[in-house]
Amino acid sequence: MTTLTVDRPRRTNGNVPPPPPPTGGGDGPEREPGPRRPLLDNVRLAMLFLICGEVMFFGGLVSAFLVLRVTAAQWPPPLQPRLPVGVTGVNTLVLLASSVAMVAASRALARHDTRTLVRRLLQAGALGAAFLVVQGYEWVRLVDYGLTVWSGAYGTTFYTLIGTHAAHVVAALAWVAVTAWLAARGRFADGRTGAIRACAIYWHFVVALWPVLYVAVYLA
Amino acid sequence: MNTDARNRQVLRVLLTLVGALVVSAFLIGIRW
Repeated sequence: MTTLTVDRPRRTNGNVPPPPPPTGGGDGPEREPGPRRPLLDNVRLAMLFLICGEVMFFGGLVSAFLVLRVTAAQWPPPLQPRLPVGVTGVNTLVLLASSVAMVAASRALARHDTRTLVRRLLQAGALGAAFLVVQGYEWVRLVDYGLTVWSGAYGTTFYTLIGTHAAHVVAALAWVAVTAWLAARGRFADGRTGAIRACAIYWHFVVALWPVLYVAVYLA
Repeated sequence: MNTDARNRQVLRVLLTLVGALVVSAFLIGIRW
């Protein structure tokens, strides 16, 4: 009778380590991430946790808005200014363009093209800042026309929903600015790109949220 | 189990929780 000998390096105590566990042995084959199934690493999972929380937060706000709107006798209430649908629609396109710039930044990151990465991040940030400036200008005009937080459910829900989103854009803008600064200093040159990928995911979320709010508050 | 498989399992739990909360909120909303 012959003994199967395995040529594996011995441990320091002289024993041969056990063989590695078999794959595909009854608990299903190992599924490797493919091109259509991106790797779900810790950064993406953490961002999905954050985004799930944000979705539920905004879901609550939008639900409250819709309940107040449906139960109101007339919407918008009489003697209240109408919301600037056209300007905000163009502003929506500006914010969506910032997401395109962020996609270009992610591609530059994959190519290890730091210069383009910083430029695209700054473009995305500039478009986000332009969105905020136009929003702020429209807010000032609406306040001049008499729509304030104290103008009943119409003003309260409008400023709460849109203001909360604007606060998120400000936070995302600060995040992008810090990320661009770090990228310009070569922080991501060593391949540890988790921070910048998290920033991109958050930016896309904030941008994707806006059309939903625009349709719910301005168009519906 | 590699990181990808473990994270997908955690994501399934998270989405189940979110789904349960959304359904509960809806049912409470319609005073079921």
